[in-house]
Amino acid sequence: MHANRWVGLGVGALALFFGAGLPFVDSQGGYAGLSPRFLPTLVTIGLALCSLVLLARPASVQAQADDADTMVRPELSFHRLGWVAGGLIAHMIVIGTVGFVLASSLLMVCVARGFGSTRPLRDAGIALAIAFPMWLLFAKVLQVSLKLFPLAGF
Amino acid sequence: MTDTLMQLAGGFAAALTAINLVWALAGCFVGTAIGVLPGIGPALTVAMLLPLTAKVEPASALILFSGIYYGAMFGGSTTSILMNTPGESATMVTAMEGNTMAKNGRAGPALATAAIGSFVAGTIATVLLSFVAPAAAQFALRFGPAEYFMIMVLAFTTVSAVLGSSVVRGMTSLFIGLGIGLIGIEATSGQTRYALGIPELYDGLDIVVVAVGLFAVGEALYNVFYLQPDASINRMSQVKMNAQDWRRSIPAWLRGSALGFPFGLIPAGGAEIPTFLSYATEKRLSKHPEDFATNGGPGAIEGVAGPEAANNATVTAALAPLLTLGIPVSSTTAILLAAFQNYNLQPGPTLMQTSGTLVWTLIASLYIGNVMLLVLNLPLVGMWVRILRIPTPLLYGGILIFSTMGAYSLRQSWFDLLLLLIIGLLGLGMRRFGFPTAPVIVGMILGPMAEKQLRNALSISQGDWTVFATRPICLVLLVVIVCILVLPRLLRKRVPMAG
Repeated sequence: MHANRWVGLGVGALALFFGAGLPFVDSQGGYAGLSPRFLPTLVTIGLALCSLVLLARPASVQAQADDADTMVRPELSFHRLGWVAGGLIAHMIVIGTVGFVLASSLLMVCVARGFGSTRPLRDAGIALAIAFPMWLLFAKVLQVSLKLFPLAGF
Repeated sequence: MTDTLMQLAGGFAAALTAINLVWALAGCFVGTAIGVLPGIGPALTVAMLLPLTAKVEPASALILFSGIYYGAMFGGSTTSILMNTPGESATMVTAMEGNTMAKNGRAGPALATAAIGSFVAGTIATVLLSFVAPAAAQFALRFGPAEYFMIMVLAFTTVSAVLGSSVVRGMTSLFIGLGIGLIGIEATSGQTRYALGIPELYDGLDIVVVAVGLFAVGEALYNVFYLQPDASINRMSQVKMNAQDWRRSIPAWLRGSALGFPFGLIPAGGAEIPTFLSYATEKRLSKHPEDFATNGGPGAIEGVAGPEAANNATVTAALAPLLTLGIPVSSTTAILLAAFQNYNLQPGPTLMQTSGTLVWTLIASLYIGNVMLLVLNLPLVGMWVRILRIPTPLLYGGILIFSTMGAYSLRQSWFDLLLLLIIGLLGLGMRRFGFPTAPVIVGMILGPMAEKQLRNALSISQGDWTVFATRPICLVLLVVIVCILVLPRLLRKRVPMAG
């Protein structure tokens, strides 16, 4: 299937999501005659129309020329993407217990691995050198409530 | 005129004292630093420093706060250009065009045109602020909800028609942004929409999470997923602007300043609209449209110069309605209003009479702050460009540490990090299939505001939709919108006919 069709289906799914939420939004217009449902309805219709155009466009030769960039099939690497996305997920999971500085070091090691680094200790050291001053700036200077090591209570 | 010059001279005499110069320098430095950090904006920083008003002289405190306000705009452009992480929503255009220039070895000229453009626009806007602010602010009072709504429609039309490889892709991005903006409690009715019962979504999605997710995380995921040759990610740069860069930048700075100043006078969503309009204008007027990032080019210097100038002109002009009418038109000016009130000063038409010296000292400090920021930022261009020498794995690791810090510092919730990842994946998909990301941000920011203004306009007109075509300013805006939509198509049809 042409890439545009997949994209069109994705945009159609978004239209369905916003459309499915419409019954849960109040439709009383008030003085303006405009209810809180007006904009969600507009978004639903807009996305649905865009979806239809995207689904129909591959039929047009001009559209295929316009979308030439989407026809290019670059080399994909799920393995590398996995390291970076996995690093972000791991960071999200551990930040509440080990704190921003250590979680950032883990993130740096995973991201650098995804981008081809093979020196995790160096990467972790550099991450500490970046994250610790950042933590000091946010927590001590800007008074943002961030614990250094929440597991130990400080 | 002579009176104004005399008063301005008095302002300079007060602002040029050693202690006030130190406060101005501190403000510019802190402002630049916080502009670099995503998630910490000038409004938050000034709010945190408000207790200073209990201990510091009014002139000194206001000079410090103005420096922060100004400096944040300078700082935001640096990380936008080098790392594609806009610290402020107003620097998104800079991220889009400037980062493309940086990737193509032209980070130096991008940073320089941003710094000099900010200086030029800041100075022009300060001069205008000194001489025409009272009259201009009075004109802005003619704007009602109908006019604001039409301005927002103009912004929607411009960004979706100009950005991206096709109008349908621009429109799709805009509707996605409007959809994201729906999430949370609706301002007028208080009704919760699309929060899915998740308490963290009741306040809506934070702009920092969405902007950083789409730009920085999306870019990192894209570059790791689609193997990029190192040279296209990270190329060592030309540091100085050449003669052609100057020729292309100067008109863009002037146009950006002219476009940004009037927007600062009205509460129309801060600097986002003028920066996007300036970008659209530069793209239309450029002799090298193929250079623009949105046309797949290596980045056009006027696409950085114009929006940066528009941003700074807007920020400066926003002080006019605050000082002359007591109306804050942005969150930071609202906090500046609080600072004034802490000193028992009420900004408004009588402020010039009751505290004229203070106001003129503040205006003089803006001139001084502009020079300080240029002196601070321009010599640092060479140093900032060296950031691009950092190996790709460490550069992207650093970018993601910055990004996650920005998102997590908002409310220390892992949920914001999850949203950051989800929006990053959305950004990856949008990049892959040629959808512009900027309309998402514009739709998200301006959607709720446009809805509110539309409802207010219709309430006042008792449901009469013709109000958008019968009020003179609305009619002018409507004609501009129709021109943007129709003229390019007509011109396109005429070109083949002529050929």
